[in-house]
Amino acid sequence: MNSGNSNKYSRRKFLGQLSCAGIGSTALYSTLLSLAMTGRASAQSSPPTSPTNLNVNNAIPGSGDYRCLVCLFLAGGNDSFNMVVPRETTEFNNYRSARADLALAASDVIDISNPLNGKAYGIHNSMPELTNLYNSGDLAFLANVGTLLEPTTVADYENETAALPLGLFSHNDQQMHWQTSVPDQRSAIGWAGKAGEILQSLNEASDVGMNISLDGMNIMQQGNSTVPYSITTHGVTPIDGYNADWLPYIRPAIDSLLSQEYESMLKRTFADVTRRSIDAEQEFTAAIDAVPDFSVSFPDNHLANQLEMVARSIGARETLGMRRQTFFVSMGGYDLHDGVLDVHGPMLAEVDAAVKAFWDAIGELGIQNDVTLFSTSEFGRTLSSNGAGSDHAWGGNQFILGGAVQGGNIYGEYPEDLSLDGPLDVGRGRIVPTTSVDEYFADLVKWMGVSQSDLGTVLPNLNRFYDLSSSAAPVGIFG
Amino acid sequence: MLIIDSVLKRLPLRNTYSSVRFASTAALLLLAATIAPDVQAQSSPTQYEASRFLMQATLGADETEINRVVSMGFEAWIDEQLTIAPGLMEPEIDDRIANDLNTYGQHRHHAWWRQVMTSDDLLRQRIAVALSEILVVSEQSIFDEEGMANYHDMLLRNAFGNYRDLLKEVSLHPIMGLYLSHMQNRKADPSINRFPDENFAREIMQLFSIGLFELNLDGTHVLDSEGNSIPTYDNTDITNFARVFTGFAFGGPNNDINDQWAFFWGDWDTDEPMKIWVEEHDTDEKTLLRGTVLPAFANDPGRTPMDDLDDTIDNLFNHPNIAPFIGYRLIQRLVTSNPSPAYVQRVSNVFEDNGSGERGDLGAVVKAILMDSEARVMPGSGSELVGRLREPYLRYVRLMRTFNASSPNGTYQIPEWGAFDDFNQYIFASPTVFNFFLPDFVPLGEMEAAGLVGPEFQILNSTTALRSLNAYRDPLSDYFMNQEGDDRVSLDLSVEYSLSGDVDTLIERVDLLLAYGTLSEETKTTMRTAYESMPNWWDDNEKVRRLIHLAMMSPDFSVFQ
Repeated sequence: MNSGNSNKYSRRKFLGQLSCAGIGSTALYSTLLSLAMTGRASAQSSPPTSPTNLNVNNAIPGSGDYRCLVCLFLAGGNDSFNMVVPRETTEFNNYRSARADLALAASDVIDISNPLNGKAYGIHNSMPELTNLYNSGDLAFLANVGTLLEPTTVADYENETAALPLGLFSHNDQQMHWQTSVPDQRSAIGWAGKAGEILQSLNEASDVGMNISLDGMNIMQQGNSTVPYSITTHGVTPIDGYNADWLPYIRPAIDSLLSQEYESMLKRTFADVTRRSIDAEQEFTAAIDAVPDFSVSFPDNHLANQLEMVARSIGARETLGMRRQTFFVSMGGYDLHDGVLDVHGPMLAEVDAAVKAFWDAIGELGIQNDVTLFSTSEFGRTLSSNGAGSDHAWGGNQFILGGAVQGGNIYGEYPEDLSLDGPLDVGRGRIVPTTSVDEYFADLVKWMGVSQSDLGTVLPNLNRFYDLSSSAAPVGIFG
Repeated sequence: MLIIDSVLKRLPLRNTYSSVRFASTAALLLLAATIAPDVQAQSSPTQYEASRFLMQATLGADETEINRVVSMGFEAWIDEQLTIAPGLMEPEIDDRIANDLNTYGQHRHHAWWRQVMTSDDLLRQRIAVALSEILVVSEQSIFDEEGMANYHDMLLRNAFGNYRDLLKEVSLHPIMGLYLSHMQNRKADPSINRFPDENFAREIMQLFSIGLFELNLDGTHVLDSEGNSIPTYDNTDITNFARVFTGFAFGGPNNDINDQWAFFWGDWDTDEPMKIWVEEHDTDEKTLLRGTVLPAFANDPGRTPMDDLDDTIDNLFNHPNIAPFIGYRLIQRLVTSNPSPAYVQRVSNVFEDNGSGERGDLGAVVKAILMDSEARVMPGSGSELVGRLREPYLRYVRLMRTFNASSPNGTYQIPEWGAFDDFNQYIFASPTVFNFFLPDFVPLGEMEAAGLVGPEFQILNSTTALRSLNAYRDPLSDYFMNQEGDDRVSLDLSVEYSLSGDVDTLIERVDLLLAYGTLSEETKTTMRTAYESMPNWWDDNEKVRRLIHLAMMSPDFSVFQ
């Protein structure tokens, strides 16, 4: 391939074939797997020149030529109707009676207003920093978002007239679906991975991938032909001893094993991948080591340590030749079948402090307009109590932080009536989502530069909720 | 500069999910040239040949087993293995449950390890793992230790049985019912727009029996007059098969198929086959593949839902694709990623007829795969294109098995929490029903140019390439070897330790046990140099373990030829 256009063309041609695959969803999967968006092809055909060459939307004028998404995954199912609560009198009373012994009191929340509907809401008072960021316009919430296959009502659910996500209310399936945005399948290809394959040609080709995970393998960043680059809070894991002066035998031995002239093609291929993986580790480690320390001090917990490494990695973006990146960090423990009131608040406080430190560090880098951090969690929790905890449910509330975010708003439709057996309750206060994850992620990937015409590739079910010919983003988080 | 994870991962535009793919005629010719057609199984193999054979036929074997193969010969060893009863997992799980002990996923892994390490059914354990990568369920979605153990035991029991029986048991297994959602799948109710789930119907065809395209017995695609591959089924077929897989729900003694309540609310019994409730089963006429029609129950008095299932299994089992489809996949797991069409054909012939007129005899198929001249030829000049990248997790298992890992109290509580992140592979933990890697994955670069597939390369990336090498040191580390307690698992390296003063003999031994004599002179020189430059204040045993680890990291070990 000699030009960006031909690269693009072959991809489009493929998408055309895809739509007539006709053997059902697994054929779709297999065809997508063939979608060879390779770094090599991109690197040869389209050196990082003008993004417009690549049919990539770069529509934010004046912004730096870098954009980055950081996914903060709250594993276990965040009880997020206690993160954002309604404060209009009737709505608050309905909330209080539905949640019974799990209900927050007025004194447990910090009041805010939502200009989009003129109503009052409260943020859990363990999140004062995020509340400040909301009030200063950097942070927004998205209300009642979840996995859907089509717009769904309580009646649809009860009469089985709407298709429902596989394994609804189950951790693993819902985590998978939040990461693939294809909840009618159990697939291992994630929306950020697919978006990355469209955007990666903007980066200088590098042995370090553009999708970096602080939480091991995850599906969200897995593409058709790419996997996340996995690092820890200490950086990339090298071969033990390869960088250690006190084990001087290891490096020459490894280098020697990998540089042999193998007659076997499979051995050559294995040695080649291993060699380049080592080189990528060396490159990445050198790049982050060169980033000056931040003056903000991060709390010392796993989430904050992860976010500090993300900030360092972002600080190395120019050395690594990155113009588009995604990061994945996670915090577990949200599966609070017990102890919601005692435990949930301190956990949210940990998020609050870690995210604030991260945001200050990004401020030191001077690129708050180019970084967006967004929360995910596989489901909300039942409004009704099981005694002192809540169980697996469906829709929930998320927050989005970024200089480019039109903050100070609660997007989506916060339920007006959280009563048990209310208009959105499919049982025990399991709230049917009113915004699909597809719409949420569409806003995010559009901001990253995925063009309108590629949205359907990244989010194949999006058109069930959103007119793909529309000029506005589905949710409008970025205006 | 290249983006490594992208460059090396790619499927060809055509022939996706083909059973066999040969993009390049040149590659075919080269492959054919490398294989001496008339290599006969030798009656007394060398130690190297025996070691290599056990790399194909087992998950790991020690020196004693190598010497048994030397004295018995390949065929007698296989024949003996075919008669050994399975070492099953579920009894250990059931014991825990009976004793009111918490039973989680790790306990199921411990039970698997115990059988792999102690049971005599070495070949059967190997084949069950291969089958688990074809007939995939996953602990990533299913949290039922008894059922998951029972599912693997089903693979063990049927490893040398008939594939038709296995396919039927898989279809009725509640774990598969939960995993691919034909459990409690109801017949259509068009009045409310409800139709049967198609998940299992699709996968039993695509992944468990016939695949997407018509195959010749040698595994190549049947082509139409315009040179195109011919799909084996279309969406209408899937819809018809989905109607067969309706009415299935938990079986077990208390769940009565005449009681509709039990379809929805019966006992959660994951170690008994599902039963089929006629009230929830679609009893209308169904058209299956190749013109087979299942009659409506109304027109066939006495017909039961189980008749529908049996006829459907037969429809797939008698399809001409099944022999090359299953044979090719097993050859890839055991022997080589790119078997010649002639090899696939020979194995298909045995699948079609084991010599006694039986179709689908897996024991005979396994024996044919292992005894084939293409499996038995030692690598040498001209082997450039043969072999397979060893599955990364199975390299770890082989290390444990080769050096007889054991614990004082006989349990196998192996700490392997990071396995999936280290290898992107972990027994029972496939991310999806498509297994950890695809049979026709093509690594970019010269393998692509040569028309070679390399399934296992799909999970070799810039993260696993490094982390997997570190993980192979875990069992060789101080931490692992010198834990306290009755449940500590450690390797038996007494012979190796005794050779610490004779590095050349030590390397020869490691070469035999792990690489059947294929460590190159350069690799051995590298190992010797490293051994001699290890810090002199190190314990000799530590040096020995580090040397074994170097062998585990070498391309000579990592690729099996």
